[in-house]
Amino acid sequence: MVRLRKVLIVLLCISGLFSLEAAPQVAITANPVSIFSSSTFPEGLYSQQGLLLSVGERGSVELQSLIQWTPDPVDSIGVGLNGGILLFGPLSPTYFNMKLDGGYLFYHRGADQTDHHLLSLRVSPLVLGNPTYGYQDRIFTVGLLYDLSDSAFSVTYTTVIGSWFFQSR
Amino acid sequence: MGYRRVLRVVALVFLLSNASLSALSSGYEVTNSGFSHPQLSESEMLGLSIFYQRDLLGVSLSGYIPLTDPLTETILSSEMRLFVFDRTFTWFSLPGRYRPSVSVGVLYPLDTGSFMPSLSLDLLSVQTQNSSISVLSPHIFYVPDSSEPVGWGVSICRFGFLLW
Repeated sequence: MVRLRKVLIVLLCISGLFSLEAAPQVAITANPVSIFSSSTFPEGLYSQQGLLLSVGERGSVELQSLIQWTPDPVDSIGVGLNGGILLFGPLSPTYFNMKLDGGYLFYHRGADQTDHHLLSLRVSPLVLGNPTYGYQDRIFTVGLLYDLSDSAFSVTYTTVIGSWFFQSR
Repeated sequence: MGYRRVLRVVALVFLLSNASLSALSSGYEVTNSGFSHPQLSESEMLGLSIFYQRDLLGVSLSGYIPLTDPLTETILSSEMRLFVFDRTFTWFSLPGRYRPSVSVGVLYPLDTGSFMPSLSLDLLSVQTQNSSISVLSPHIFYVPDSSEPVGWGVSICRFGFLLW
């Protein structure tokens, strides 16, 4: 619990580094996520979905859930918080961008009823779109998950992380 | 039958198929699917398809491999898709079409060598000018000669790119 509090404080501090000039944008996000070479996650089909809030011109905070769909639906689930930053320019009007984000994931594995605390880091080398277009797609996203409980790494990959904004800027 | 006649028939079939395929929209799709049945891999399956469609009908040919262990299993699939209706809408001034569909087809895992008839539903399916996306599409399939004759699965995401 203390560790979780520390992670949240760090995320809030990171968010505070961004300028707060721009009005926040809200988007829903959804994507499949492929998890490789993992002792933490059992084989299966996983998706992530969440709510993204832009912070300042380049930053974002994303509340996410992780759901296992097959072979046992909703057997394993997770919830996490990510802070992200756009590297090549502000959210608007930049159309082509790159994004780096990281955060914390709490994961419950249904097979053996164990809880896991993970740190995540993701890089999206190609980000297309912005709130003006109503969408933003993060392409070819590669990530790393570090299981604090088991000291094990997992690699994640997602071809497209879709974000759909509620209002245009 | 002389070889000239065979050539003429082949040329005629080629021209007819070329003409009929030209009248169809076509493209490819990338799918993230999972299956739940003892005879199939539990891994996330990555599917690559080519499809042809016209109005409310479509056909597709697909190949699936386990994404986390690609060389262990291959599933081929063929589907015929019926779009239930086609409704236009606007999202941030971009025109879109809501096109739910129902599909019947057959799965053919190369390992088991048995045909598995399948039925799938695309309830959340949207098409824009040259792309489409379907999310959370469930499917069931029949497995002959198995202690569990019915399996199920879900495609959490299918991106389609309309090329022609």
